[in-house]
This record gives sequence, C-alpha cells and structure tokens, in this order.
Amino acid sequence: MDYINFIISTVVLALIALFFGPVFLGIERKIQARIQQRIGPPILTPGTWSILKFWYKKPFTPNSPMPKLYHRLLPATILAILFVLWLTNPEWWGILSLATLVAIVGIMKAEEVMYVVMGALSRSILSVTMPYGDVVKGAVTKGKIRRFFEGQSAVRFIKHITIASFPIYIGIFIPAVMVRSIYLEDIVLYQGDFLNLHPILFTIPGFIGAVVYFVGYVAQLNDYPFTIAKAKGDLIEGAPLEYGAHARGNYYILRGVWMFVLSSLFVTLFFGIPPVVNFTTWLGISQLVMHVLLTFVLPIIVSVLSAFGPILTFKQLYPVSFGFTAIGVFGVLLAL
Amino acid sequence: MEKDRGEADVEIPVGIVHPALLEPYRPRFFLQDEVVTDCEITLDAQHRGIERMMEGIPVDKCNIITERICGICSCVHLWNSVRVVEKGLNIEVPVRAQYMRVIINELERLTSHLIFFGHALEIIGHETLGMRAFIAREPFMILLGELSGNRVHYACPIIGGIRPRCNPTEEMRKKALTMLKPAAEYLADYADRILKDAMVMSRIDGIGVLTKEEAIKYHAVGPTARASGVNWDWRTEIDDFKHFDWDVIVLDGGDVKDRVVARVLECLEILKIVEQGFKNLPEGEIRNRDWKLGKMPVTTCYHEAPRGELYDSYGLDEKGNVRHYKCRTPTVTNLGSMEVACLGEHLTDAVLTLASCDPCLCCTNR
Amino acid sequence: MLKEISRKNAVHVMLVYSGGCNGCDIEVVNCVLSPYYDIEQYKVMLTWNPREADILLVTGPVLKRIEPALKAIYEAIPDPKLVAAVGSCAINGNVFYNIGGDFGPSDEVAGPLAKVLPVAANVPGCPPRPEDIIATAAVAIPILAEMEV
Repeated sequence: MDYINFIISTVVLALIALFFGPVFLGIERKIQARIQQRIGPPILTPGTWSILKFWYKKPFTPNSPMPKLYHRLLPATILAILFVLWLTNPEWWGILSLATLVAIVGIMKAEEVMYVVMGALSRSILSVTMPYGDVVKGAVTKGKIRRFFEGQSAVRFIKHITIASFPIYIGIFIPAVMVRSIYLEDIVLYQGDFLNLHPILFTIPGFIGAVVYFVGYVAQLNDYPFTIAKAKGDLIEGAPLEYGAHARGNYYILRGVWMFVLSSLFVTLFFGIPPVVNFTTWLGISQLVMHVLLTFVLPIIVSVLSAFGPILTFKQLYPVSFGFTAIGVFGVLLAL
Repeated sequence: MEKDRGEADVEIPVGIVHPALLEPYRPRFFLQDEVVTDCEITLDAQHRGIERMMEGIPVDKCNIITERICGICSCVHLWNSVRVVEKGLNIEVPVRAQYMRVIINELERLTSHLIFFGHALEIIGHETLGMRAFIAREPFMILLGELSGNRVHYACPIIGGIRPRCNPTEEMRKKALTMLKPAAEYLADYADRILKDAMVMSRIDGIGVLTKEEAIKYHAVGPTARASGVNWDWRTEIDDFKHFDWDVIVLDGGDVKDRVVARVLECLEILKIVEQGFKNLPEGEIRNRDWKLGKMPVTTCYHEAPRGELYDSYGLDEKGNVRHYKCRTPTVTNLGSMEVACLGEHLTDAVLTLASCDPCLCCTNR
Repeated sequence: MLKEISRKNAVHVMLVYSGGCNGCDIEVVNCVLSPYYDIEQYKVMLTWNPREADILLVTGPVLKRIEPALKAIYEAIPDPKLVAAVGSCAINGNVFYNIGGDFGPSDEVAGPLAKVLPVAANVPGCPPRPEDIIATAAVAIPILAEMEV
C-alpha cells in the first residue's frame, strides 16, 4: 500500500471536484442564457465568485429548531459525496473491498435523505411567519398545522426519492450486469486499457444504460424538468431557503460538486476511464485530463434540456420515470 | 356542478412576496395530501385610498391620479375617467382623436397580454419561452414610447380629445406601420410556438376549470369569462370602436389552456385593429375646446380593461371639482371566481390557476 | 482583496413591491427577464430569497400594510447590504403622498422609503427606464464592495 500516492491522489481529486463543481454551475447558466437569446453571466460568476462572496458575508443564526445541525448538514454531505469520487480512484480499490456499486448507491441514498432533513429543519420568513394580518376573526380555520414551504418541500422529496431515483439505479446497474460483477475494478478492467479502450457506452445495452443514467442524473440534481421538490413556481426554493452567508456558499458547493461527481462516475462506468492521479508519466497525466474533459459532456446536455423543460408535476412525473425505468429493464435484459 | 370546499389537514399560506405573485396578495391554501380543498385570498395589501384622495380636487388633477392606479392598464383607466366627463357634459370628441385613443389603448392591451404570457410561463417553469414573450413585447414598448413620450403612463386622452404630443405626424404614422410588420410576424410565430409545445400544454390542459354557470354566478369578466363561454365584451358598446372591423373571441373549455389561448387570439385581433387604425387615420382636429366645466350629476361609464369590465363614476360640483368618485375594477371578481376554480387541483396547479386570470392587484385595491 | 473582487463579480438583487402602481416593477422585471436589457451580463442576478440577496430593490410608496413585511425581509438579508429606491414613489411618495382633495393625501402611505429603511441609491422616473436601473446597479456595486461586514 503506497501511502504517499494514496494521500496525494485523494487530495488532488477533492481539489479537482471543488474547483470544477462551481464552474459547472456557471456553464449551465451560460448555456441556458445563450439558448434564451441573451448574453448571460460570465462563467465564473454564478459559481465561483458567488461562493467567495457568500463566504465574506456576516454569519447569522437561521430560523430553525436546530440551527447548528442545519448548518453542519452541508459539510457532512459534501464529504459523503466526495467518497463516491474517491471510490472510483484506483488507489482506493484495495481497501477493504469497499469499492462496489452498492456503496455508491448507499451514498446516493444518504444524499437524498439529507434534503428531507434539511426541509424539516428550516423555517423561512417568506411563508407562515410573514408578518401580515390574515389570520383574523372570521378567517377560515381549517387545517391542523400551518406548514412552511420547506416542510412541503420535504414531503415532496420523500415522494421524489421513492419514484424518481429508479432511473439512475438501473442506469448504474446495467454495467454491473454486463460485467457480471459489482466491483468497480472489474467494470473498469472489462473496458480495457486506456490505450485500447472498448467502452460500454458504444454497445447497445450500454447506450441504453447511458440514456437512462442521464435521465436519472437530471432527477438527482433536481434540475428542470424534475424540480417539483424545489419548484420556483410555488415553493420558491424549497428546503434550502434559510441558508445564508457562508452556509449559502456551502450549498452552492454541494450542488456543484454533486454535478461533477455524478458526471465523473458516468465517465468511469461507461467510458472505462477512472480518475487516475499519476503525475510521473505522460500516460497518467493524459488519462486524468481526458477524464476531466469527458465530465463536461453530461452537464452541457443537462443545461440544454433544462432550458426547454417546464416543471413537471407528480402526475406527469410518474409516467416519465416509470417509462425510463422500463427502458432500463429492457437494457438489463439485453445485457444478460 | 358546484365544487365543494372540503376538510383539510395542512394550511400553506403563500406570502405577499413570492415569484408567482406579480403583486402582493395572500392566498391561503388548505390541502389534503397536496390537493387543494379550500382556498382563501386576502386582498388588501395595496390599498392606497384613491377614492378618498379624489374628493374635491379639480378634474384635471384627478386624471393624473387615475392613471397611476395601475401600471399595466393605465391608459384605459384614464380614458374611462375622461369619458365620464364627456358623457356627462355632452362633449364631442373629434374622429382623429378617437382613432388615436383606440390605437394607444389597444397597443397597451397587447403589452399587458404579453406580460401575462411571460409571467405564466415563468410560473410553469419554462424560463426560455417566458423570455421570448419579453422579446416580442419590446418593439411595442418602443413604439408606444415614440408615439406618446413614455413607455408606461402615456397620459394620452384628455377631456375633449388627445394631448398634442400624442398626435403623430405623417412621417411617424408611416414609421409606425413599418415598425409593426416584423413585430406582428414575430408575435404570430411565438403564439404558434407556445400552442405547439407538448410539455407546456400538458401542464395547462384540463387544469382549473371554470364552467359557464360558475363564471356567470361569480361574475367573472374579461378574457377569463370569455374563455368559459360568456359572450360579452364592453368594446362592442363603445362608439370609438365602431370604426374598426374585429371579432370577439369566445371559447368554451374554461380551463387554463383556454384562458391562455383566448388572450393569444385577442392579441391577433388587436394587431388587426392597430393596423386598420394606422392605415385609415383621418386628418382633422385632435381636441374639442368648445365646452365649459360646470355642475354634473353622477355619471357612470363602463369600459373593457385588459382583464375585464371597468366601471367609473363621479359627479362634478359648480367649480368643476370631483365628487363621489367610484371605481371598480375587474380583478375583484375574477380572483373570486379563481378561488373556486382552483379547488381540487394539486398545489402547483392551484397557484398557476390563480395566476391564469391575470390578476392586477393594484387595480383591485385602489 | 479577494473580498472586493468577489463582491464586484457576483451581486444578487431582490425585488420587493411595497404598494405602488407596479409600473416600476414591470420595468425591473424587464431588466432581468428581457434579453434586450439582460442585467445578468453585468454580473447581477435576481433572487427571490432574502437570505441570498445583497441589494434590496424597493418600488412603490411604502404602504402601512406592507411595512412590517418589508422590514422583516430587510432584517433577513445578511450583512453587508444596500437598499435602492426605484421610482418616484419610493423617492418622494409621488402622487399618493403629495396630492389630495378635501381629505388630503392618502392615509395609507407610511412615507417615502427613506423614512423606513436606510437608502443608498435612488433611481428616479415614473417609471424609470431599464437603462437607468442598470446604471444605478453599476453605481451601487462598488459601494457594496468596500463595505465592512
């Protein structure tokens, strides 16, 4: 076990994710703006500079029953997400045989549940506690509780978890079926060396898997059209409403890093190029550069799709999600 | 069949500052498992006491305030207020002034409908098509700015005619006709694009149905009622509009899609009227100075604002000051009928239904 | 140094309408949502959440009914923050505060914005043109960049 290489690769991968994540947020906004026929913000503004600006704001206590937990959810989740990236690093494959798809799916589930906890803990001024005299003598008094927007968002996240996560799990599952193993090492080795690759993406079941993974990717990021849990039309922003100052910066980092990590997982699984950190040989450097370049593909396609999609409500979401799950199942059958 | 207001578990109030609400009002939705079973709207945030301010001021000063009751329907408020005096004191308006009043009013109606499309598409979540509405709207704003001097609050009608600065020269008239052509084409293409988009249509089809009986019972007016089959448009009763050839748009579905489509088709009718207006603009005077202010009993006047029926009434005392000013605007009843139409929908669709009657709260609260 | 650079390169504004005729509101929305004016290219982004905002744009004469909500939203914005009064109503009350008949001007107006919140920038006009609003943002941002937290 080479401890030096292990530590260096871990730190370098984390830095790459923390840098490129916010850049992806900017690229998404820029592409949406160009589709909307306007110039749009510079690429570093919605991500990198916004995060730095938020870190320089004065901290405050949010309206929440457990404010410290509310704030600490974010760094904890970012760390958990980075584990998904670290598990695809070849230096980690020897450790305790943990580098399996099951571990990755478990971490994804934890990230989804985090949003539910976030929604339960937030109490924004923009909903129930808005100082306006509407509950007066003679007003309607139905309803046992008055719920905040964030609480409603948490309820919708639970439905979202049960329905809209199927596509990404099946998308991840298809390479495992093709390779007959859930270990990331085997999936990467199946696709060959860096210099003579035969990626899973270019086979028929692999391509179906990639399409289903893409739909699942959009659902995991809660981007249009799968944004019912954070709908701007009625819930303003949903669960993260009370994040401000440094916590808002952390929230942007969370979104950006998640975008990068899931795209990186796609490159590892479907292209067979894991993020190898090896600065001693040209082969090592070019493999890392190729990996990072290929991670740009999915966010660009997501930006184009999100510019053209409205918010789909649950009654439209169920058929879409089940449809893509069915396509995924068909892909699994083809792979067998 | 009338919808019932049922039991509820949860109340979600939608605050007065919210992206779906262009202007401040406070709906409280009562939900049973994400389906709205009851709804109560509190409507008094923007009350400025306009009617009290008007008591006893000279009638010309009153017109400055009337125009600023609302920013989107400012021309029709001013026109109706001026018509009250013209009807009460029997003041005739020259034909050229009538044409210009109609043209500027209809152009404002067009910009109002385009804001509605932009706003409704933003609420659905489709930012791209919402922004295209603003692209379609901008040439008309520029045209209005050139015709009258300001992008909003044109101050065009005055008692007896129109203001001299709103009188277009021959050059301006020809320029307006050339400016209209590409803008009209873009608008027609854009309207086509919305109606053909499957995802947007699936969001608005069958939502928030207001039947014809409910529309009549709750006194819905304007395009909201015409989309439910009620065939009434106050413009058919106004003499100034008799010079033009146009149709009243009536549909019979009563859901959000029909309310949007009714406004789209009205936009195309408006373009017809404005083009006829510029082509056939007669020469002549623009202001009739042959009258005196004096005592006038309380006179009433109705007009068609972009959202429906507008009512103004006041009287004048011996010195020409306004007495007993009263104004009633369309959104009061439209929002009431939407409160009924949104029952039984999912929360996101209910917010969309409330926005689909194009509420203008500054008018409602005066 | 990084503080000034990041504050100049990313600004979030929030819009609150405190009761006027909403003409100014439509012009501000024109700035943000219309590709003709597009304030996002100048690194200013619109948000609807006070916790995310730096600059608060207020239109309309502040009505007594909306004043508590306006103050609560102002308190919710984290430091450093600025307030900009957009339109004549916010600057001096316009017709609602200054014209009246036998009963005087409106009772419902709490006053021009300067009586309720500390104002840093004014945009005159009834309504101001979108170009004026963008020009004011360009003036206000360097003030924001130099503020101590």
